[in-house]
Amino acid sequence: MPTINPNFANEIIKFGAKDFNLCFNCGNCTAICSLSTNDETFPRELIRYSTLGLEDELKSSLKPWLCYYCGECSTHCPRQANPGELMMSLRRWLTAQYDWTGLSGLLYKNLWAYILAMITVLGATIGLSYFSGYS
Amino acid sequence: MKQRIGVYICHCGGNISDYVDVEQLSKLIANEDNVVISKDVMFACSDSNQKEMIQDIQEKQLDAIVVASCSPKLHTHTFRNVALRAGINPYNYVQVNVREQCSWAHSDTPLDATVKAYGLIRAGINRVAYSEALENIEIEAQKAVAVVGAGVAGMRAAIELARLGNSVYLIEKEEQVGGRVAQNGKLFMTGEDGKALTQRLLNEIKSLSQINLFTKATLEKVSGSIGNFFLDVNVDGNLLKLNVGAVLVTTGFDFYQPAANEYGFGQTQRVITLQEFKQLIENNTNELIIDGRPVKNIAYIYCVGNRQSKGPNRYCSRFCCTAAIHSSIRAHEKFIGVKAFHFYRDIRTYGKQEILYRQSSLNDDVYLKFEEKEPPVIEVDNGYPVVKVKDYLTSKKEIILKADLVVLVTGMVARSDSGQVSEKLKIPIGNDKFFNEIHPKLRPVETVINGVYIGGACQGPKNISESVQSALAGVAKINALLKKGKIALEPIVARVNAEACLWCGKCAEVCDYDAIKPLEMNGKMVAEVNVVTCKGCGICAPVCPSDAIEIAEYSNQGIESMIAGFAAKAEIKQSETHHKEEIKHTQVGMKEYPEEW
Repeated sequence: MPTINPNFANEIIKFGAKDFNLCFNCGNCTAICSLSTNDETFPRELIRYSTLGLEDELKSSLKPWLCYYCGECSTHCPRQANPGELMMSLRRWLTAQYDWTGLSGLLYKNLWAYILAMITVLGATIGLSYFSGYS
Repeated sequence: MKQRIGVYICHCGGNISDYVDVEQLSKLIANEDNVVISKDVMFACSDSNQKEMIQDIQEKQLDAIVVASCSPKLHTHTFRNVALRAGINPYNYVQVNVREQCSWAHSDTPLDATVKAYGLIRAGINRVAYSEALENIEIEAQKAVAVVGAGVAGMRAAIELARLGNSVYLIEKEEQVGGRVAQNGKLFMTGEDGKALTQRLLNEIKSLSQINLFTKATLEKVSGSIGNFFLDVNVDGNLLKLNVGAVLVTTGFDFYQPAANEYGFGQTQRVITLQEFKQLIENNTNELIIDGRPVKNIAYIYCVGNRQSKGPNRYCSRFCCTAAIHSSIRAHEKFIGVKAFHFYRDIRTYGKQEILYRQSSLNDDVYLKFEEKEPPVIEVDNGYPVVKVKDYLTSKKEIILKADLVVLVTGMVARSDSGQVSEKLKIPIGNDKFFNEIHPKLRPVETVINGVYIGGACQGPKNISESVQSALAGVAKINALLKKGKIALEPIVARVNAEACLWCGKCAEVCDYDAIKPLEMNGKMVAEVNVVTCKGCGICAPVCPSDAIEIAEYSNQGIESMIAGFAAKAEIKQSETHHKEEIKHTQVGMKEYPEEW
């Protein structure tokens, strides 16, 4: 039986989600979503899983990947709970779960790590282009 | 017997005349016995018609009037005043209801409505013929009020009554005043401390010389009636006799106490009621600790002992959603790392209290919804409660929460000693054991006992503002009652024919108001009616074996003549308007519509 994880909300917030706990389960987001069908309903269901921290349900769901982040749900949310942003954050969180190196999780969550990585990539690009004779 | 009767039949601007043929009726009624004048008028209640009625009464020397218009609830006082201004007794007037009972009820059969109206008006004429001139019963009233219960409602009411110039006896059962509010910490919305709030009221009471406060005092005996109640009060063992004009009951409520093992209550000290939790918040400073261990995850279970479709507490208790959410916000403010899980049926933070719900959502409180048929189950694991629930917001998935503390959000129930108070003051109590008002909307603080008023949560669940509001409404009613020092009562009460009375006691037995007592008269016992407590309900008249008791204005003769008047044969002609009505009916029949519709 799924058990509530009280710390999950804090974890997902690190991946960019915010205010999703303002949700009062009206279902407007699911109604407005052009990709949600009677068999595959989201985003409300995923907001609910995230609120309760049901990680297994989230990991086994394909629904986060069906969303293409048009933002209709966030526009129509009466509580400004920002469901679209939560869907995006869930994809980031899932990516971090699949990645055994832990690198993607670090890049998503830590701004400094992200900036450092960017600088490294930029430096490497410039360096490579310099050594390969372009000027 | 009245022999110069005036009859006025009202059109009510079409409300009546569209269906009841008032013109024909007024012509027919003019031929009735004892009727001197019969008119149909556009609006009987209008100023111009009232003036015309007064003129008719004086010129034609009418001795009684009948108005056939709307419900007597609407215009009895209007036309009693007309009678008074014209110089006849207000009780020589009878109102006949031909709107609610005829035109509105039988709009589909106008002819029958007219026949019925004819019968009712003739019954009214016969009744008014037997009517007597009655005078209001006027009694002296004490400008003193007893307020029973010194909670926030009672204290506030006592202060206002004293300021309006009444002497007040404030009677409190406990040693301390303040009731339930004094047990609270910070209150929504002012943020004021409950204890401080009641202390402020107490200081004000002490500064007012007209208020006599008795603590450790209970009501022992009540006698007398409106204007002059005699109360025996037991003040810490001493008997005190009070004479007051009115009584305001503000005895408050009890919290529902969960049964043993209801949601794990009593199984572990980590399952507590909301009241206990409020104390816990006040008593802990930096960290919420139970049994030496910190509390992080708190489960609130709502509607405990309330809204039971099969239990005694059928309805919502109004204050508990707000109180629970307010407590969870307080806990969140005071203790770091506390997370709240609300297991609710419906959240009812109505009005301004919605602010609290939003605040709690911003605090990351989690809400899980259950239904009465599938309540959460609490198991105890190692002293810690585990809550299992079918969450209706997560497609009824079974979900588990390992909680550190379970708070049972309990509502208000009637006080366990409410029966004692109601018995002494004769206040009717409902199935829920709360005190009953006369009418929940129109007469919300009056009881059927004249001079006894109810305020605050003794009437049903209320929050603090609502309690104070209702108590102050009671204050306004009491002050209006006692202000003149005299009270005028309706003279429609039971009367005893002492010669015919054999004192069998049957009338006293059926009387709901204790208004009939035996009295020795000319060497025999007869029934005596206390005209002040009698409501004129008439229940005593039919049980009397010797027909010795009757109600003023409702004599046997009068009632029999009404029946005769109503049952007499009526010859009403179908008028042209009714024909039109019927033709219209056939025209709008569905089958008449063109096919392309």
